[in-house]
Amino acid sequence: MSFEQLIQELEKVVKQLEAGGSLDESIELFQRGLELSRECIASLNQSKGKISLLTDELNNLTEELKID
Amino acid sequence: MGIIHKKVNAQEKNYISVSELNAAIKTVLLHTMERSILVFGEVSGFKISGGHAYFTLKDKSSQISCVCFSCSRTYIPKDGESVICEGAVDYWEKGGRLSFSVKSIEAVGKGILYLEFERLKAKLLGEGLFDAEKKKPIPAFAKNILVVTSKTGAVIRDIVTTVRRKNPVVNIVVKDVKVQGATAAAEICEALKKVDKLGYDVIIIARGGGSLEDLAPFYDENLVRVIFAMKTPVISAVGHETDFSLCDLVADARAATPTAAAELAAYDYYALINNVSALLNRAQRSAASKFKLAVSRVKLAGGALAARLNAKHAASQNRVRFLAFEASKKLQNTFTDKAHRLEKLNIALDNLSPLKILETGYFKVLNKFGESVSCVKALTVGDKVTAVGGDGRFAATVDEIKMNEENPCISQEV
Repeated sequence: MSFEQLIQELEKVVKQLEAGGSLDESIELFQRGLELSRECIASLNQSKGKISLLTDELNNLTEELKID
Repeated sequence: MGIIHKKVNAQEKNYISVSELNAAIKTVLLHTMERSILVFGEVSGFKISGGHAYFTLKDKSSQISCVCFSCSRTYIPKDGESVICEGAVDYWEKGGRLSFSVKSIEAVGKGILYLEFERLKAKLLGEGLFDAEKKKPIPAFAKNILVVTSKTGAVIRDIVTTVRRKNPVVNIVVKDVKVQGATAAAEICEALKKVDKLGYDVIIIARGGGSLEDLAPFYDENLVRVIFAMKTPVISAVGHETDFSLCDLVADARAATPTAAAELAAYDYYALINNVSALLNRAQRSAASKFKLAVSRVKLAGGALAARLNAKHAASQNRVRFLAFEASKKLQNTFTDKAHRLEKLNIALDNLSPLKILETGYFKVLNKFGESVSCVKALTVGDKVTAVGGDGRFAATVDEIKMNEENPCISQEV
């Protein structure tokens, strides 16, 4: 799932939790929420924060670019 | 034109100094050019400094630098405007620079370049290339951004700085291109076609400000068509603050500055992390409160149960205690009764005890074997007997025996 989908899912879970339900349901929902929040963060951190110059347009090869 | 020869060191050489050259050029100009000429052309790069105007006058293939001293007295044109300038060619000897010294400027209408762009814009608009519905949405969470711009200069630096301020993780790749000049448009087109296939989340086309002809590549018809056909969303940030270039119009989004383009392309990482944390907190609190509620319900039920058990228990305990008390009382009474009876019996028994009888004056008679004698029948005169009394015993011999006529001995010892 994309980050967008993950965070929408997380919002849904939280709303369900706040709406009510048995203790068992709540525990299950919370665990799902925990899992989703971990996946959200992981999804965001997939990008490496690199700044680079495209040296080969056909093969998407890059080299580091220093911006001063 | 005659070149001035000079004799140096008795050798004839055909060279002159720079000053002499410049002076010669000035002379030629003064002598051959009219003192007042009218020139028609398009204005570009118009700026006023210290009360004087400096600009370029151009046509399709040529241009010349102009200066208008004390320009306040004349018409002030805008870049792209077509004008007629009255003035004279001037040659600045010291700097060796030629310029057109303008005395007055007259407006004649919009510039050629400008008109051409307007015409092209209308044509492309008619084809629907600028339609809003055809524009692709800019992704909300881009992981990889590609910037088509010059790899040196303020533009890329501003974009990188702006992005990094709010997002440390997004990857930024730069495709270095020429952003002005005759070959720029074609170069940018080729670059865009290739990078569109590389799967970037969004592409920014950016360049800094400049005059209309500086920006000409971004009014190129081919460029517009290439951008329109691209699969990757494109943000255009091409120089003009107020006027939109054709690149701006066809792109999926337009930013007034490279900084604005960066804001559009990159999401706020820190805000998102906070968002996720906040959601998790809400979930935690919700679950925790439910759990607490359940625990208190259990406690409450347990308490009620315990209270009931205690009450029941207390009641039974009391009953048991009561019964035990009763029983022990009864037991005691019985015991006391029995004890009394026992005592009575003891007393009675005691009274009946042979010892007691002996104490009252009776003696037990034992024969020579130590056996008890209860009948005179068992005795023979001369027998040695022992008489046992309450306080002692004595030995005796049987002298005389007299049996009763009634009460015969029933003892078996006879």
